[in-house]
Amino acid sequence: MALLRTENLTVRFGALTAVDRVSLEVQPGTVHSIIGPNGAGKTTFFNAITGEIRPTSGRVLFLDRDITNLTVYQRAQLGIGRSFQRTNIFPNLTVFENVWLASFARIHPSSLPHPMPRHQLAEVKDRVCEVLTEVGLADRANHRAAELSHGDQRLLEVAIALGLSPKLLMLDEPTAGLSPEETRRMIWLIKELAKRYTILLIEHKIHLVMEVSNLISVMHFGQLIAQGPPEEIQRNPAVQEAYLGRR
Amino acid sequence: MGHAKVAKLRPQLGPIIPWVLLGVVVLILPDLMRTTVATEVWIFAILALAFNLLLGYTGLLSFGQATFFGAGAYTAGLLLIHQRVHPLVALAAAALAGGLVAALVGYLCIRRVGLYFIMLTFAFNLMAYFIVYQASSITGGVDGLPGVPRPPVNLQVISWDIRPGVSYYLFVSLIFLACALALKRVVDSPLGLVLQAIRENEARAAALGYNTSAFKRLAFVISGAFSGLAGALYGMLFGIVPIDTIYWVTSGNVVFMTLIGGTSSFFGPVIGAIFFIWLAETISVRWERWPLLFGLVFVLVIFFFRGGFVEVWRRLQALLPRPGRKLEPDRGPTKD
Repeated sequence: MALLRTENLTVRFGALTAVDRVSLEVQPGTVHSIIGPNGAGKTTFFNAITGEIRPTSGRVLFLDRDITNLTVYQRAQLGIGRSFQRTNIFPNLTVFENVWLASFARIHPSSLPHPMPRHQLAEVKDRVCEVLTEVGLADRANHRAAELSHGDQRLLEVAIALGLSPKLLMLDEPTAGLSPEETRRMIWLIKELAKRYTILLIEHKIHLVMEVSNLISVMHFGQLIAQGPPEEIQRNPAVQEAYLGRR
Repeated sequence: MGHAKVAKLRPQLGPIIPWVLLGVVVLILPDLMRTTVATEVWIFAILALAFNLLLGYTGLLSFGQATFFGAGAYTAGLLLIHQRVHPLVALAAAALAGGLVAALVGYLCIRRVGLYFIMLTFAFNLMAYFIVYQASSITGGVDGLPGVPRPPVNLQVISWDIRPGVSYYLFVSLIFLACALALKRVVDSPLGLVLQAIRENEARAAALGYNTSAFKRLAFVISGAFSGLAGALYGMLFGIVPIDTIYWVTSGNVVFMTLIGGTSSFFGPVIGAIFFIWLAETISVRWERWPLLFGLVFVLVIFFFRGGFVEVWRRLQALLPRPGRKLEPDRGPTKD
């Protein structure tokens, strides 16, 4: 059974069809990457899966349940955790608090007003420490998120998604704007995460995609033009054309 | 060894210090101003703290806090006049009324954001005012609701007469401290951090699985309940519920005192309330145009100390050299 399935998912903005009848399956335990030139509709596709954008038509199924009409927070509660292409954190809260919010949401999903003081929730705190250690931000736990370097903010972005312990981890260009050294750190992290999470990844850095993915889907002008394992995609003439243009 | 001990003690003592200071201020305030004014200070301190749960923590500028303050004041006033209820029952009813009105107003207002949200809270405030204005056979209309009694606080074992000004001051101070503790508990609970997350980045909070609308409504209800309670104390203080309690100027005053005190810390609004009421009640006796002075202070705060009095304090602290403070290794400028 596929963890996530989209059926003819379509998103239209006026005359522009950003996502055009995309049907795709994410198998549990795999790293599934979506690549494509700028403006191919990858992020819009992500947003339609997480609920930030309502699709014009088509369906999204998570664990065989139709979630097309659920809100963003309902989908998150089902186990979809994501990072954003443009850093999307809580700037005036500490690094610790940023991840704490995610972990709390996971561990106490339905408890709206939880009566305990925050510092007494040991289970949440342990999870936060675990995540911060894993991404390598433990020594900056008490910094304001806004004070972090761009590279560290990208790591925090991923850490927040990990705090959710999601069934499906969706990473939207985690290496965007990173220096070569920071990129290496992020690649290492993604490889580690690939051992434990089902990942849907948008990425521009082709060598990273080739290295970590089990399956690659290629988007071009909103449409899925190819899909297959990395070696096959590399040889695919349609993919080369989409990337290099026909001149 | 000695050093380690000090370091261990500090974090435990830290949270208590503001409460001790607050207790001291409660005790000396009646020596600095008339008892009635000192009582008013703590009433508005409750209101400002409740308001800051919306503004400082959740990032919602409610320009209609007087709606809840007034709802509480009239509810308690009517119950005390016609039913002669126990003062604590009156307070509870006022909190309930404030919370209910806030639930309705919040439910409708949070559907919009930014300026539209602010204008909606303002519009509901005006509507509430005109309802009270029109229903003069019940509320006394523009003349206010007179004859609010202050019956003794009967606690089975003892009965506390709160009619004398000093006794009522003590009563209000105790209620204030209880409210402050309760609100501190709220902001220290997970809810407090979730509200801050909504203020910082609502979309991201939703992506974590938080029903942000529900949390905003809850913030409104809590804020409204404490505001209503403050309103009840206000009516009991003067023996009358003036229509000003539900007038928009009162909403504006709460915004002012909270901004002047500082929205970024829990106790900031209390400092703002002390300063505002003191200025309003002492200077206004001598100088009719006191709002000019207040306006000047407000302008200075907005221009130079956006964080209010709390920021003045922080900057003074930063000026003092602190021994033993390790410098962070320079990580270079952050790229944004």
